[in-house]
Amino acid sequence: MKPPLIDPKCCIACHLCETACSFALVGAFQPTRAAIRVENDREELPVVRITDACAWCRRDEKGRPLCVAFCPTEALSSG
Amino acid sequence: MNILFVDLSRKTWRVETADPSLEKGYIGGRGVNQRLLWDLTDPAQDVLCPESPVILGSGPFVGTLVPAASRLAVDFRNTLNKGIGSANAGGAFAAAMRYAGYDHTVITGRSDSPVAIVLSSEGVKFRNATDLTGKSPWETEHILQNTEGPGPVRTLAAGPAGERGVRLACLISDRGRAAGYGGPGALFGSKNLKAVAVVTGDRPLIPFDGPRFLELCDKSHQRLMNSRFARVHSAGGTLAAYLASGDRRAHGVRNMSDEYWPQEAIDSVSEKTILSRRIRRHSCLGCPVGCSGLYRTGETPFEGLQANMYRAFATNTDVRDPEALMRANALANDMGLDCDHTSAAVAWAMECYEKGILDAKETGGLELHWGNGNAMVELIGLIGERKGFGELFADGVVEAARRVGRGSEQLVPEVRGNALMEAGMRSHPAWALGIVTSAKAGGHLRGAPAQEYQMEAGLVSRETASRLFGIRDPDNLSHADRARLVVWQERYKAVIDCMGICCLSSVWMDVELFQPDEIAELYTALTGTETYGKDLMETGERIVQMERAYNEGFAGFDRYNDTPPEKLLEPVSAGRYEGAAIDADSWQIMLEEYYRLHGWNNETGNPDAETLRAELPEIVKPLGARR
Repeated sequence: MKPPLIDPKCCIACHLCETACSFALVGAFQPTRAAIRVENDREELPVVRITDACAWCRRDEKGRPLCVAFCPTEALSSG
Repeated sequence: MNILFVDLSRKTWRVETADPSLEKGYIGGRGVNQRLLWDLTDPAQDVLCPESPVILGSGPFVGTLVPAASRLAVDFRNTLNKGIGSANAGGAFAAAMRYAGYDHTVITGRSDSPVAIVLSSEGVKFRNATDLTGKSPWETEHILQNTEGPGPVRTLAAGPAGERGVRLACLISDRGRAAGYGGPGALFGSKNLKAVAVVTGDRPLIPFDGPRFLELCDKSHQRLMNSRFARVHSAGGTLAAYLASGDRRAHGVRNMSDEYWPQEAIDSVSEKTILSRRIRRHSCLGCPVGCSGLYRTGETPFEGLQANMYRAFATNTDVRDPEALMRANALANDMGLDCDHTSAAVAWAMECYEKGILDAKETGGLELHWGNGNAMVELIGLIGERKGFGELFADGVVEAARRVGRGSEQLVPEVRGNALMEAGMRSHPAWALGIVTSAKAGGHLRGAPAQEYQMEAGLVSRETASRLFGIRDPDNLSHADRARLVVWQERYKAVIDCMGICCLSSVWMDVELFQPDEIAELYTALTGTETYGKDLMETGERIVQMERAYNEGFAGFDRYNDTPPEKLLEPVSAGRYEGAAIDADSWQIMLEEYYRLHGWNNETGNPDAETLRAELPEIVKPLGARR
């Protein structure tokens, strides 16, 4: 299993991945605890970064991590 | 619920845990803000006195996985009319405030020098803002990010117009998302407050029933993503949705003198010309739709181009130049001017100029003919800087017309001391009723039901119309049906403003989205308090009653103020809605039904003492003292 794949060109900086990730990891909405970070979100191209805390979780019925399940664009996909 | 109180005079702050009754009675966001406003204001005070508060509120859904729940409620005393001031903005600020530990922030006092306040989990830092003076909200955020970072710094800032006390001044969150109505920027200016910045904090938001809440969030997310609304608005925001219907829709034209704009004019400011300048989509925090975007005009990047801007800086001024429209939008944002009210100022000045009430000598050489985009942009700059002819508008359009006189007062589409900039009021009676009765003085984001347009387009089934609104035939709306729609929307909008949900991705634009029962289920799983849709709508009604009572007690409004602007009695000149106009008799029928549904006195248009005693005992005493 691998962490999600990232295509920052598709990112609209909604940060839903961070919110979902923190819930998967710690059961709370707390972006500082998320293993995925959307940075430079006000610039022309955001930077999406996955930290070592990523648990490669498979949380929805399709076997996707929550960050991928809640991403509304093609910015994240299952690794 | 944590409330942060900041006193700018003493440079002190404290956090209070609110009494649970506050959350029970008013949920959060706008509801709690408005309740706090009662306790913190006095009608005898000057609106811009140091004690006059600016209250920022998030809602319980903000910062969670509920989609499109990013909204910040900003409530205060309206600088134009002394009644309620109530504005709302998207972005990431409200969520950041919650993560930092504050559900609401109440700012009072006046700093003796320019100040910015920086909120974090550790508390409040009072930061010298001399370096921010005269800067745009965009530059302000950039500087604060550099000095208060490295983590993301979210800001809510006044622009130069607010600093100078212009009552058309808004607050801008996240560089391009405005909390506009009622002049909150002028209140910031009066407090010497340039900006509030939030450094992302570490507070965990823990749902009562995590698995259930996640399941419901996922359902809401899927429903929103698969909706008709999301398909259109993800592609090009409200602007694309607005432009797609061309001259088949009602426009706000030449200072609201008409609702018809010809197709060749629309083509000159088309979706293609505007969207080609979009650099990328940019979402509010937690919103999968992403209707906003980052644009560029010349070298200037800007955000926030929406349907309102098209109405403001194209149809309402008859400007057919997309570059001018975008320059106007970018400049208004940089100045921190509310686009609606600023456009109303420009459009009124143009109508005065065309009718010979104002001449080039008085305008300082500005040739304010309809369609003169360069003059429009120049005037916006002058209003923000309070220079030359722009100084006339420092206290709003109604006051400008009072100073000019010579019949110019009749040209202002005025409601409760505010100048409107709206479309469709002649052709859509419920929409008009919602705008005119809006407690925050105009604006279509209160009781104005976009559901009326959905019904016109055949998008609301009989089953849904009956179940949600108690309307039997959505294809043939009676006056009573229209009043009912307005009252429903007033209650519902209060609910979503309390929760922090965006109005666009709601029943307002698509009847399938965020129906009251869906919101109640989410709220139950989040908080553990068993709640039903009808409970929420009752809370919404109480908030509407409270705001109406505030306007009576603080601004002296009554039935007279529910009169539509006279120019709306003149019919639409051509097109699909040719001949449509507000009919004075129908208006009274609709209005009286609207009062009846709220239980308001038919003569005064206000809640009687008994209604208030039953519904809002906590405000009867202060109101009684003021009557």
